[in-house]
Amino acid sequence: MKIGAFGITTAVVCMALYNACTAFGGKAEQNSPEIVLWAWERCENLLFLKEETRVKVAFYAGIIVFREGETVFTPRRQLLIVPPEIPLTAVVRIENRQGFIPDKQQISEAVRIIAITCIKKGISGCQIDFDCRSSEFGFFKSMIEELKDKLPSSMPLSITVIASLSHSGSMVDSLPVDEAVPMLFRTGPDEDLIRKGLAGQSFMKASACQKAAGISLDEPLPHAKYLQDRKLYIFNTRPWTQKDFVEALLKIKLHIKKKVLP
Amino acid sequence: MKRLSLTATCLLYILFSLPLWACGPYFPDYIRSAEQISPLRSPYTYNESFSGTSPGIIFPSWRIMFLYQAYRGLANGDAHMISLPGAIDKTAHLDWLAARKSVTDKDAQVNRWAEGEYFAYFRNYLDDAFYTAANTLNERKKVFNRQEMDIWLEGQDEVFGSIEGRLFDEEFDRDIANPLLKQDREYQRAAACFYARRYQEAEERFREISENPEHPWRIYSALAACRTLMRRANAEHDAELKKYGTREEGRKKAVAARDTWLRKADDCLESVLKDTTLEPVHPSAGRLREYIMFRLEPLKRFAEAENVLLSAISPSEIGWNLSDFAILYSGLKQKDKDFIIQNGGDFSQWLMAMQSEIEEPAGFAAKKWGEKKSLPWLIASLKTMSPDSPWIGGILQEALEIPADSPAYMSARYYYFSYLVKSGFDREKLAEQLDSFIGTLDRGKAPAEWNCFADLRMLVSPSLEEALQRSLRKVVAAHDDYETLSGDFELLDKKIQSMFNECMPLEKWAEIVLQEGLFTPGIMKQLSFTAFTRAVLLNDFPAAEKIASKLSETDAQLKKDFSGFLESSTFGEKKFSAVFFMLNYPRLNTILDSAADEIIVKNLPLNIRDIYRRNWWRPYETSSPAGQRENLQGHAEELLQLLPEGLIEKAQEENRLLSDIAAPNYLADTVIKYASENPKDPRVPKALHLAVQATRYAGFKDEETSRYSRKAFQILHRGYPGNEWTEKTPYWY
Repeated sequence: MKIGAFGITTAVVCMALYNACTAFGGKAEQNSPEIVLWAWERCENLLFLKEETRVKVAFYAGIIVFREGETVFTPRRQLLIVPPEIPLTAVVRIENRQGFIPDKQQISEAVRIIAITCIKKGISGCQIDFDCRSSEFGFFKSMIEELKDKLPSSMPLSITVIASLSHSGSMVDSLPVDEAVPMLFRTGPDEDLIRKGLAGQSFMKASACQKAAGISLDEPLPHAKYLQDRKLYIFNTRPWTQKDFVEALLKIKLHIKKKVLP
Repeated sequence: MKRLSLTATCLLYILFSLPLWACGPYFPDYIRSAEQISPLRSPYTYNESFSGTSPGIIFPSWRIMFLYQAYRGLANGDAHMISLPGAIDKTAHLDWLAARKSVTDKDAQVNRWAEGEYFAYFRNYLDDAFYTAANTLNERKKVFNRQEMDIWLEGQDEVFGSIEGRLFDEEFDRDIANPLLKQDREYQRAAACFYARRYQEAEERFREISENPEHPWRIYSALAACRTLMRRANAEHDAELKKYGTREEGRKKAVAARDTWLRKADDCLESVLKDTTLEPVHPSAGRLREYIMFRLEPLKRFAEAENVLLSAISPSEIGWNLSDFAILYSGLKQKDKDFIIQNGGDFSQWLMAMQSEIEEPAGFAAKKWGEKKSLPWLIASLKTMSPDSPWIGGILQEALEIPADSPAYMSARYYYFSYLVKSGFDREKLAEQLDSFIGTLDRGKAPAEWNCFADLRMLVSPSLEEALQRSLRKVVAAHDDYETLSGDFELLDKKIQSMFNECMPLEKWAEIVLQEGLFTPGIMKQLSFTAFTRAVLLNDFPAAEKIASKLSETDAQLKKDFSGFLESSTFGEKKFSAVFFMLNYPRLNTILDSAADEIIVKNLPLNIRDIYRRNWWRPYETSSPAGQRENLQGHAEELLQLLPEGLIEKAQEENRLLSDIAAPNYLADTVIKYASENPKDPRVPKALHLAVQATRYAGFKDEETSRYSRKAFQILHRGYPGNEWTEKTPYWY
């Protein structure tokens, strides 16, 4: 009996491993989740993505800092080398360091900068990365609404949101965005619940949060049910290499399969 | 050149900046213990009056700029300001726009960044461009008529990319009568080419101007021609990269192309420096050559920068050289330590000695001290000295003779006492010496230093009681994103917190919290609540009662809230009453952690739920004996020997029991069982409601939690329809 159970387990694990390896072979193929690599402010050489058809890149395009009533933009200063066929999303990080809510003028300045940054040849998407506190939501909403008007209708607008804002009924759903990416890393006290899949029935059920999830390679993966059938944004704390990429895909695939198999 | 500047700025940013963290939420980390203070990268975190002549205790974790200031203070007794290059002057372009406003009402936009290759930007216009433009405008206002001023301004706007006009229409210049305006426009044209990255044309135009001895822009053009070559070096680099790819072959070709142009730029600058008529731009030319040397001959530049640093006074000269030095030093330290040991100057060798955990090579710092008898080497040798060093006696003696007004005083004493603690010197004598020394310190003025010495004193305490008495530390900084520390706060030393969590059984906790005035009221209260929680979970109700009684003595609300527990008689009732209390006090925990620190510092109520789910306890993660020692930060021997035999084992056994208790399950289970046996107890509906809430808001849940949630919900709704607590519980989780 014991041998039988062991045999079944072994077979299941082998099957999962085989499937994962054959499905990927170092590539993200049709049956794998859509993958978006976050390429942050460091020299990134992503030429190894040349033949990938299900992979996109969301790159740090710059940061807008609201400081002492000024809107200061610092664009990306590090090279980003990507095969021309890879779709690119420009990510603009926003930080409010002035201790008060940005005014209308600052919002307009920020919107103008974001639009200039995103509407460029070779860029097909725009993402805003802002750790929005509840007191800043009004300003954030105004900014997103103004930005949505400025961007071409064909350009998807995405935002990142902290995991706790992804519950159904979240204020995120009042934003005119095409996608909100719950960041399932650096989640503090919720980390354990997210990893075990116990963050509640409404978790990640806000309408805008149902398409994607954000994970980081330096943390254990969240529960598979939060990753399944979603576009996965992956953050790497160091510059991407082909090895990191292949290992990340395998890890995700196995993680999801393991949970789905009985 | 500006790309080079950009690269240096980026590297500086990496070297000198604080780390950036993604996402949130962030919780405060209160810095007070020596093991938290010593790894900080900036002394300004806890000491706003830091300077080279008053550095406090010098820690090797500091960024190089602070260690340099400390070194200069020790070596020469001088304190120098450092003006780091690459710091962005955000007002430079505003100065230009303000000057511009004095002659026109028309607005202009200036974009200081330009898009380079591969989605990267670079700072196209440096601050000096705006300052020069603003100064020139103010001068020309005095001599140009209105129309001439308009033409000049139009040209300058084109230089800054604000408009596209007639700057390159040389026909238009023929109608300009003013020769100065014509010459200005020649320079503007060259500059516009430079910023538009038409480097060949820019170089030719600058050279043409520089060859005209009568031209007012001759001197600046001579330098600008060289700067054009430097910028071209980077442009050629990127072009090769694009052409041949970013793999090794492409990178080699790119570097070769860049270096070729940098050499041309170097020749150009050399000729500028040889020309005495170009003296006003000699300092700038010298700095540009340093940039080139940084790229082409890094070791030479390293030695040259260090040489300057040993005696420089000018803040900008120090900053300039320190930035190059820091980048090159960090590379060398990783790849070629021997180079520093054999060829480095006094500062780089001292840095390496200070940053080494052990003397490397053996006796290096002590030998240096023997040769130089200087303060920097005294501190470095004290910090790394091994007990078998032949110089030990002399070094220790020397350390004690440092006068109180010396910049080395605090460091010498700290590393002296640290050495004695580590080497097992007579604890009693050491305690006396430390007491006497700490008595001379002003805790209010230098709390971080005071904490570090108090830490050493605590480590040589003869008993646990004394160690505890000496474990209070003043918070010197708070690391968190959104809040700054305001006011004076005391917390327990981190190691003592670990001892409580890992090495003390409940009997010891209870003994300590039942004492009077051992710690501040806030700390005593937090300790008491934690001990109470442990006592209840371990079913030691007599201990829990004593603690609850003591807590009730001075707090009417607590007296009321504990009354049910204190008055109950049976085991079941006692346990339910304790749980009922716990449900009403969600911030109760079984350990002292950073959340407990925050409760103490901010005086947070324990009966208000934390919105970040730091509610109730997580199952205790028992540390292995090795982990326990690690948590004691290398001082396990000194601290663990203070604990009576058998205590640690008992604590470990209790922690093992605690590790099996999941808060929401335990709370709900207790309530469910009690409710089934005592359905008429008026507290039951509220307890069931709170139990359901706990299954949602607890910081820890497992696969069983939902089952408890549902069960409590069902009992509440079936057994108490219409009850206010039932109405308040529309869901289970």
